[in-house]
Amino acid sequence: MGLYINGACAISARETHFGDFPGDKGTDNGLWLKTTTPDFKQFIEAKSARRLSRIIKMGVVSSLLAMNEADAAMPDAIIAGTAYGCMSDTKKFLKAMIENDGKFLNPTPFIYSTHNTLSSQVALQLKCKGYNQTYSQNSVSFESALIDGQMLLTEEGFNTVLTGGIDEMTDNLYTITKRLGLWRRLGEGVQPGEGAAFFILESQQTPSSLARILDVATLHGAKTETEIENWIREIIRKHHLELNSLDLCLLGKNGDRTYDDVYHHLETGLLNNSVCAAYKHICGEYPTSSSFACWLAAKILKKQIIPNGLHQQRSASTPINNVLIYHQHRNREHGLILLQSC
Amino acid sequence: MDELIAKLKAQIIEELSLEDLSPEELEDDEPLFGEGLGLDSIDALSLVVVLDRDYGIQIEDPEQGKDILFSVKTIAEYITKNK
Repeated sequence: MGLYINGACAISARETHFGDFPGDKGTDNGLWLKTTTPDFKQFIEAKSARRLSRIIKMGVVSSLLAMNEADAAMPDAIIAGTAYGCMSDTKKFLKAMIENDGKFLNPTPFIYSTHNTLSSQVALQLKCKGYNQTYSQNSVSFESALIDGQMLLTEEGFNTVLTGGIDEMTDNLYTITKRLGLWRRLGEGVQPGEGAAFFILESQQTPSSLARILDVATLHGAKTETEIENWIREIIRKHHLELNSLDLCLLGKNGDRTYDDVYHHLETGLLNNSVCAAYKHICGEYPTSSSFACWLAAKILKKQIIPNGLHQQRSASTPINNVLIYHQHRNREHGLILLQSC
Repeated sequence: MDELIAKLKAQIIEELSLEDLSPEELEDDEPLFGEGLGLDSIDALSLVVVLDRDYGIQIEDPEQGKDILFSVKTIAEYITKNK
């Protein structure tokens, strides 16, 4: 039994929501790469939309567009991965608490501030009463959601799973994370970012299938370069692939010299024979940006074209059959997704 | 009363994020819940907070809430009577 991406949508700073490859220039507000969103009113009734913050609208609309692409009926499960959760409602709630000395709190921002609001609001909009889950595991939140979807399809007999990764950037979050020094080490051309990418996963291949997911894996804790190499090598081997059969490797390089060495080591060692490229300069740096990379890889496999601007060292030969996505956050969390053409 | 009604309409629109509605479109007697404007129980909670926070009025008896929050006019009347 396989695991297929039969529909996908990414809302990003590069106007990708209708399936086009990223445009040349991102929508940059001077501080971070801000998503270019579709007209939400075309997808969500005004009455339903009035309480939804931008991140929830992005989640709902990217889910709807992924379902349209897959021509999918009601999903059996909705699983979201998010690290930050709903920051603008969290801010509203906390601000009201401070201003009113903990009294007279409007319940709406509190209700909508929790992380699980995302997948539950997607479910409410779709009227889906199935399994509903939200994973918040920092930079491997998306991979955690994917792994759950994979298990539901392969072990629990589910037919259609809607899963995705989503995070938003707000003024307050930017100020706080900047103060914490999170963006100080980003390399030139990489900015903080935000985005939403949702996928329809099914166990059956269809004409709309973009790619097959061979594996999703996470690794926790500080690892040596050799340990990371061995981990990747084992996963490749498990699927009876050779390292040189990886046609493209999308790496989560963000220019942070302290931790980008892990990627440089892979590029010059284990993945030396593959075309290695970057994606964070396109979508921005945010914890679930690997969901954007997954969308990008699936589109590349479907279209058999590598778009310009991925900073790869050389051109990839076609056909493009296998794409590896690997990223790590401060050598504390490592995420890997292996996709194959279908 | 007219001034209070106008203020309440603006507050309801702001507090409940009814961005597509203008104060002129919101009738004084129009039912806020159910078949009228279609507000729900979360909105009712928000309106109770507005009454407490901005007018210092608490709805002691929950049974009364339905009648008090029926329309902008009934809310204005309750504020005027209890202020």
